[in-house]
Amino acid sequence: MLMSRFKQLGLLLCSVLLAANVHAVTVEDSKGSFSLDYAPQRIVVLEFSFADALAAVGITPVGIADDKDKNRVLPEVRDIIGDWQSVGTRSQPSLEVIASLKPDLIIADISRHEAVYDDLKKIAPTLILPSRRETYSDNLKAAAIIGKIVGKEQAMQERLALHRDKMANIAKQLPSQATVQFGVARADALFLHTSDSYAGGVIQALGMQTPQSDRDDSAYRQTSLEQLLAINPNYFIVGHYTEPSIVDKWRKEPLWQVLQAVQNKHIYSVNPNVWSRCRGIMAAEHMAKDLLAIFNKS
Amino acid sequence: MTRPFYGLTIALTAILLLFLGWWNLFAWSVIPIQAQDVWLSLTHFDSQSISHRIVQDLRLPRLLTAMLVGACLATAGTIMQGLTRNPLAAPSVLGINAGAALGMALVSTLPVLYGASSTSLAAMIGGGVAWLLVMLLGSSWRIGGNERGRLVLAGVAISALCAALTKAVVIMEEDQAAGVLTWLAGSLADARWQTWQHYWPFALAGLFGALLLTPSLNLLQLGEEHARNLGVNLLRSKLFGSFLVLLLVGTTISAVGSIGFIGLIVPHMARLLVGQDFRIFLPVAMLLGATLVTLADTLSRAISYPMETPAGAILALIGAPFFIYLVRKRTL
Repeated sequence: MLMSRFKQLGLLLCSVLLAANVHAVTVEDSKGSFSLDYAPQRIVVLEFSFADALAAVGITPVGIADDKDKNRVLPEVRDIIGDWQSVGTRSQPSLEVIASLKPDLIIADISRHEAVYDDLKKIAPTLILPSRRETYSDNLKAAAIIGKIVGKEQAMQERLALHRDKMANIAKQLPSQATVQFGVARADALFLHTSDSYAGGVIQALGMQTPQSDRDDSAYRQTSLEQLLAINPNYFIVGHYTEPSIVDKWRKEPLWQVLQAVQNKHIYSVNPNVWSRCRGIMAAEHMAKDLLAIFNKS
Repeated sequence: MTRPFYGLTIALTAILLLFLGWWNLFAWSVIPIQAQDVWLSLTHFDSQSISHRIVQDLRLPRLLTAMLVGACLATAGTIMQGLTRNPLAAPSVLGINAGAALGMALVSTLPVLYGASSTSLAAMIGGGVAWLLVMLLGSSWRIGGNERGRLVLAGVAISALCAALTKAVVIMEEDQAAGVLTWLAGSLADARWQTWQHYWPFALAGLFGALLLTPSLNLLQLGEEHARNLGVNLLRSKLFGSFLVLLLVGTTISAVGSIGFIGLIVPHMARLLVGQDFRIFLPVAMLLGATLVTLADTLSRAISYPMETPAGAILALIGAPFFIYLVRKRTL
């Protein structure tokens, strides 16, 4: 009797230890090795792409650096995660608000938050990954890492497989030889998203071409009308941050008419928030659907 | 120096300006433009040719604006140095650029102020307020109270204050800030015929007014007491001079953004060439200013070809060491 009690206790202990071992995961983030020996319950994310990754496996973050505007989070992501607390802007998240949420994991962006990395670590274990200026494949890698660290590796791999299927399926319906250029237009500046940018990566993942840039450079490049003429893409997709934007000003200029995309009426507007800020599994699928709608129309 | 020498200097500068202007029209184009295309686009314009179009629609207004910008800023610097008898006086040193930048940043980012005034008006008001504060702090309005160091210190302090406030605005309103940042760097890349049309009437009026002011500036160099004894109305000259500076700098800044150091460097170059007489060295300064900005604009396409580097940044690279040189020359 006593022996069987001991056996039961031993079994229980073993299973507890095993369970703990299941949660102890180690991943490589932008600062090296990152380990967590519990499944985080209260997660604060400081970029939209991380919220997208959490939503992909059905987890709701307690806080998002949403630029104090909930509408900036992708609608598809909002539908899954419900409500959250804003922790300020992505560029200047409020450390006080983050601390007040008592998170057990913070996911930060190496590009924006490296300077406050040490402060964030004092609040909670901080996983730091690329987001701003990341490529499409960087983003999928970051999503896989997030899946592993929140204890949903299996679910994330399944979601990523589904994502690849969806993208491949849409790619079949899009013309593979077309060059597509995306850019965001502000009141007095146009920034093209180059082949190395996230949007450029999504376009390539959908089997289409992005204009070759003659120099190795960053994801976003400020571009004049003249430089746009030199690039001369088949399709030009613009996200207008303001109306009227600089592109609307250019429309009145004779040189604008020389653009191939203008002559063939292949200029389209998309939501700049989705295309430029969101990034993520669901954001890419949203962009793919936008492109499908554009090419079905044309 | 004799009159023919002045004539030669002016003629040589004008030839240099014309040559640089012609070079500016075709050099470092993303879409290749031949040198003869420039000529052909002016004489036998072919609306189907892209290079003709670029010369006519982009290059020509850009070049003319660059020339006028150079002339205006050089003139503003000359007037400021003449009025304050301070060799370090220039729009960028005495806070006008920073004040105008703050004015523009406020109008373009704060929702309360949207549409309250045009950006060019905001630039002029901002620059005017900053200039007024600098003159008051530097006690430049008081007769005889014209301490050189004090004025420059006041300019530096006001510039720093305005720059800090501008940065605060930019950080708080990050989304609208990209445009402000582009503008702060000062670039001629977006100067079109429309820019030119809004710009040249005011700029030419300012330049003409400056030529009228030159006799008083000459007398002011003798010292304020002497100038007054010789019949110069000090207050009127200072007010008219300040108005001209604001007109020249304000319209320039609203056309192409904040371009510094032209107003500081060029008057010294001109004085070196033709001496102290404002009636001669002001026109030379105008020509030299136009030449320098045209050159900077050409280089702005060359430095990180095929991307554009703001012309203001290039001028700052030349201007900052020159400023240090001037300061050292004064104290040693």
